[in-house]
Amino acid sequence: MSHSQDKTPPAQLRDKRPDPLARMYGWANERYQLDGLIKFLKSKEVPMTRASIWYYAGGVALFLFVIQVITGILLLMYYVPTTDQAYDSVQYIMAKVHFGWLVRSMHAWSANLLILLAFTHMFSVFFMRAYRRPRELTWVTGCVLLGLCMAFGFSGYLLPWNELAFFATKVGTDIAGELPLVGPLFLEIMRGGEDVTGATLSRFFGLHVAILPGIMTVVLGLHLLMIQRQGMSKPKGWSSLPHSQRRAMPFFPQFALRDMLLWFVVLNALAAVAVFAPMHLGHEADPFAPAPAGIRPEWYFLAGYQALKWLPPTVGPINGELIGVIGMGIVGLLVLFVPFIDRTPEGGPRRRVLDIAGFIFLTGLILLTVLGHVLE
Amino acid sequence: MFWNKHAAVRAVSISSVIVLTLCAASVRAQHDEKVLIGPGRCSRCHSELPDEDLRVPAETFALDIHAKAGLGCADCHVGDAKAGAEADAHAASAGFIGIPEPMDIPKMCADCHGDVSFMIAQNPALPVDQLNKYSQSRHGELLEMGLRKVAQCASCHTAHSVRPANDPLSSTYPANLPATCASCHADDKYMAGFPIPTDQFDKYAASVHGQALFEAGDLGAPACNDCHGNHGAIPPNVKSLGHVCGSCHAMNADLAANSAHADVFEAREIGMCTVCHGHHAIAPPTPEAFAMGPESSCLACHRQGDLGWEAGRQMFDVVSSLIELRADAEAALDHAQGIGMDVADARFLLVDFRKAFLGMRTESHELDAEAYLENAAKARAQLEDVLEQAGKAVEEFHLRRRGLGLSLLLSLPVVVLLYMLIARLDSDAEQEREVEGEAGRSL
Repeated sequence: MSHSQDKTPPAQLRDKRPDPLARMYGWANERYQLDGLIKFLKSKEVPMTRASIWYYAGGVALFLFVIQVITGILLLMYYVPTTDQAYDSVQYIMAKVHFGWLVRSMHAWSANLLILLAFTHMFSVFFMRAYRRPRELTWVTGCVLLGLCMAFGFSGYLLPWNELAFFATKVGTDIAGELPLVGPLFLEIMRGGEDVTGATLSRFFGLHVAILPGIMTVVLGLHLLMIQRQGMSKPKGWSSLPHSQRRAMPFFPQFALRDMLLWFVVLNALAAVAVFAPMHLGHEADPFAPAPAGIRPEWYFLAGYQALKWLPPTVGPINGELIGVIGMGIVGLLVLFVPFIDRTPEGGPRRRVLDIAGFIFLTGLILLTVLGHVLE
Repeated sequence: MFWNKHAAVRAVSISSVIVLTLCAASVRAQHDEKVLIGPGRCSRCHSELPDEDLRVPAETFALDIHAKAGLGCADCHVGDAKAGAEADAHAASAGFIGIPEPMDIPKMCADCHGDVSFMIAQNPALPVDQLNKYSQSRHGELLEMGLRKVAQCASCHTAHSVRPANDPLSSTYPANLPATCASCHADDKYMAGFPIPTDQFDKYAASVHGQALFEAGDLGAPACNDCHGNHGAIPPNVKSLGHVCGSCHAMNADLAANSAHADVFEAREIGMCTVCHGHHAIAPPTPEAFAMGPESSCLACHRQGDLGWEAGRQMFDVVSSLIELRADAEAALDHAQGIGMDVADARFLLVDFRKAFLGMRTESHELDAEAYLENAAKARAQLEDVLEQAGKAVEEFHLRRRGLGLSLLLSLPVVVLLYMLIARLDSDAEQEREVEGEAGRSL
């Protein structure tokens, strides 16, 4: 019998060798201790209640952000951020680049959907009181993320350098210029001068592809880290239920698989929207042309825009727009500091007051957005 | 001695200063007086007169180009502009002429405008031959014959509100000029006795030229003076028509001059361009002009079955089919764009079509069938290209739809698998819970 024959394992042992996937897992686990991570994920529970559906909003928003990053990087390969080439380069992407139309439309549509999901996530967290101690900072980072998403939207809207975007940016930056004391300086910093020009395009491009993604990565990282460390927020009365009545599912794999299923559906829905309702480019911006009729900002700024339109030019000696901008700033701060303002115990009439306030705020936002879209 | 050397020097110095000051004051006074010689002194009385004809000129003249050049009322009306009293200012002994006679106005204006050395100092860009041209114009001839109502300088340029022709408020600004001419030529009563129609302005306003000038604001579009001349205004005659239109439509005029029509039209005294296009009411060309129907001027000479009739019908068929094809191409582009496809490149091809189509129309003036059909073929090729691209865009849309359908189809098993996996995990968990529950109860 040869030496090599001696080393051949017996047949019964050969059958018990781990399959390739298990071997690969074993290899990785040996180096990165994956068992610990899986144990952590399995131990993480997601409560199963009537409101569980809202738990998916954050995950879908995260998925849409990933789509934004991927499609954004692809667009970057052809986009040229100069006033004489920006529009042409986007047109080139849509007409000549293979699947450029799909990438651009998915980027634009998923951006809108991301903001919608971020709002949905925020309001669901608000109405479920998931921001309360010890998750105050999770709420604050979430609000910052929503603000960052809107800044992404505002800066990205100008990049195709088309007529609508140009004038909407002009109006938008004008409103920012109404801020007390810092307004004019802020306006000049944003525009890179007195008017919306090539300097503005360069700044918005830099903001959109470098500065905002950098900040977003840090804040998003913190937000996710806090969620992982603290676990999902439990609904009202959950803790007082006997263990047998607490219906929950492990985050991994059950909830993660559901998330994945939803992401898959969203991805396909985005592709369908890109095919049947592609984002049109419109006409190239002409800074010397008069503003066309019907200029309005993106839908997520419409509520504020409509509110400003309804304000009189002056309220006593004070500029009406200034009052509007300050008012919106105060509302923004109130939302940001909700966890520190809401110290009411669970249940009771005070909690109902906050619910009503949130409901009015949400209804107002929707109503103003719809009116801003419908009214001339 | 009472006078010493220093005192004498001081006295001389003081005297010099006083003399210089007086001189300066005198110069200033002269300057002020010169200003008063202008509209200032005359307008002191005229601006307060109740009679509009006498008051308004004093008000409007301040903005007149002549007032800005330093001319005053007396430069035309003579009289004593320095006089304080009306009688002295208007005295016959001072040469006052009042309102100049229409017969005298052209010569009066030419005193300055025909003086080369004077006009070079004022505005070297202005011509100095207006009187010469005017005297040969129909207006000038009639004025010479003693017709006082005929147009002279002030009729078109106004008397006291003269502005440069490039001033949008000027009566001779291109966009205002047709109305200036129409103020006489469209007035039935005023033109009674003259054997010319009075509907030119209405016809012109509706014409391609009028639309371009009034609606599109194209100041390069011809107004009355571009065909008739301005100072030397005369109706163009049959021989000059080709040159008048050809000053803008050079290619068409050249080709028409080389065509088989040229000699025939000249012999029969038919206006080369106007026979097909008309004159004041020039409408956009339509293929019906070649259709040998009621809109064809060709039928004045050609009869069914002759060479011209056949050629006209052929041109009509070619142009009509191209126009139909263009409508199809535009509809195809609109459809492709409507379903979200980018057709900017294909739309750009329509510009090339327009060039070929225009070339075809230009060639029609020479009656050269070969060149005409060559351009028609180019135009058709452009349209077919557009249609092909629009078709490709629609195909691409369908391809995208199929791609989407395929990706959905491929996704479906993944979705089903995921769903089944979730269902199995849920079922396992449920069983586990039940086992745990039973175990708990048995304990």
